[in-house]
Amino acid sequence: MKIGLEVHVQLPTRSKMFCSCPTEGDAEPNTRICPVCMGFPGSKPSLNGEALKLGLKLAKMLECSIPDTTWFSRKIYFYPDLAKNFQITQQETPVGLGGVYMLGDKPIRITRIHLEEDPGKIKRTSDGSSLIDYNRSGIPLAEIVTEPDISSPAEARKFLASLLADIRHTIDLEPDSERSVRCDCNISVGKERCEVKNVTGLKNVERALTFEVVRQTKILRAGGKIERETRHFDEERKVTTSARKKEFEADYGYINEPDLGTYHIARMASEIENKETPMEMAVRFENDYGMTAKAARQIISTDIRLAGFFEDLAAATDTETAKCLVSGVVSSNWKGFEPTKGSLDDIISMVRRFKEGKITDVECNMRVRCIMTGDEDTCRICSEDLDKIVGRALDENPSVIADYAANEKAANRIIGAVMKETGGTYSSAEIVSAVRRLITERL
Amino acid sequence: MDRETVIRVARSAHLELTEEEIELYRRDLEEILDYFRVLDDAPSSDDLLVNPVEVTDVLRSDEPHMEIPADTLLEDVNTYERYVRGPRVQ
Ligand SMILES: [Zn+2]
Repeated sequence: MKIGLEVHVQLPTRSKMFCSCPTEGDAEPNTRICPVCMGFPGSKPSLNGEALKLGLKLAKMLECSIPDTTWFSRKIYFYPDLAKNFQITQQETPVGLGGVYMLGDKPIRITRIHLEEDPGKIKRTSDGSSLIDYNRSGIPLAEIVTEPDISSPAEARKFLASLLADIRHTIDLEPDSERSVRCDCNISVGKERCEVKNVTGLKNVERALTFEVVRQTKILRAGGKIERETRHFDEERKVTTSARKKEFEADYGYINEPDLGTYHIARMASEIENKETPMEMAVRFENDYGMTAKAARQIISTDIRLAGFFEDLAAATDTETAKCLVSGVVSSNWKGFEPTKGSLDDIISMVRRFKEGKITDVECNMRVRCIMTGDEDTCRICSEDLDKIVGRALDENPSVIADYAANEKAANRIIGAVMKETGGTYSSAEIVSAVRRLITERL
Repeated sequence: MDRETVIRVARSAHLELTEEEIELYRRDLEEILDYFRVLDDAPSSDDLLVNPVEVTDVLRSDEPHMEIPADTLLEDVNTYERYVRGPRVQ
């Protein structure tokens, strides 16, 4: 089985690719439009330097070779999502060619990465006519095309998740942006391939490909022939259907875009300092932290943010403690955990307490799991410990109970004492509520 | 220009032509293309044919800015609840 992907990622610029319309803001349709992105006669595009720069950053991240000069082309097609009747894209001189992306040990070859403008959004009405919102029209996109090196739908999903994490890291994309990732998926079980167009999100890519594997396998087993064609993925029914041939008949009649000039991108790219790539990071982890190549890649390929956290934790505690924690409890609970600065700092202070001998390793692991998963049972056991600490503080200061009846501020003495004792293990809100609850119980 | 080319061009432009129209446009298109034959005698160049005037490295800074209010642009456009009305699509 061979799978190749064409991944479209919206680049996080503030203005559109060929006009100054804002890329974000009013959600009402057709509020961020101008004569350029509406294709009014006489309007001319001008290239957003930031879009080009972000494209080059990704080309470098994917270890593509970058041509000396680039220019743009018009891809001519007649569909109302593009008001000009052509899309400005890159045909002959993509910003990057022939790269590679390492998915763990496995190289996935990158055919090319090019820049193009996003079309508008079409809504179909019940009578079959179209309603168009051009707010999206002209948002810069990078299209990354892979060779057919992916060997299963699950691997395709894994590849996309990993690639997106690295893209996010390289060009500072918002964490929730995977929704705006669209893929064209090429898949062949036998000799002939089919293309499933415009699939949104990682889950749907895996579903669409899985459906195709089953469909193509059935046809081949029955002695049939796979027809080379373009298919659509129906998100609701979770099936792919044959697209009407007419709609995607490729006769784009590319011409060079005469309203834009040429750009010396090799020179521009040499001035761009990319953040450390995941592969460079893996080598550094081996050297600096004495990790095995496998362990380093394991952490980094799970999530580049996990790797960053490992470094923070190693700096705050020590390498061995960080290795042990990160490869253990932190890794095993990472999936489904949405790291924030606050939650990561909480984990670090917990590990510090373990290192200082204030809590045992079992307790430390449990509390880390509570922070990461919010799992009720785990957290209840953790807060039972808090109750014990508060209870002990109340035993030592029995007068507080009576004082509290007169003035609730008396609770502050206990709150302060517990905070000092637990040193950041619990949030102040947790402590306040536990103290109030336990005093009330004893009143 | 041959019939097949006319039919292909029409299909790309989503046009349905009758037999008479195919013949009509075949002759018209041929005539139009003949006008351009004069360019065959123009001196050729090995330069990139992107822009007749050399324009290099002209970039815009990434500053959002709208010169004309969106509502003004929509004034002469056929809309429905701010959406632009388009043709029937599959
Ligand atoms: Zn615009």
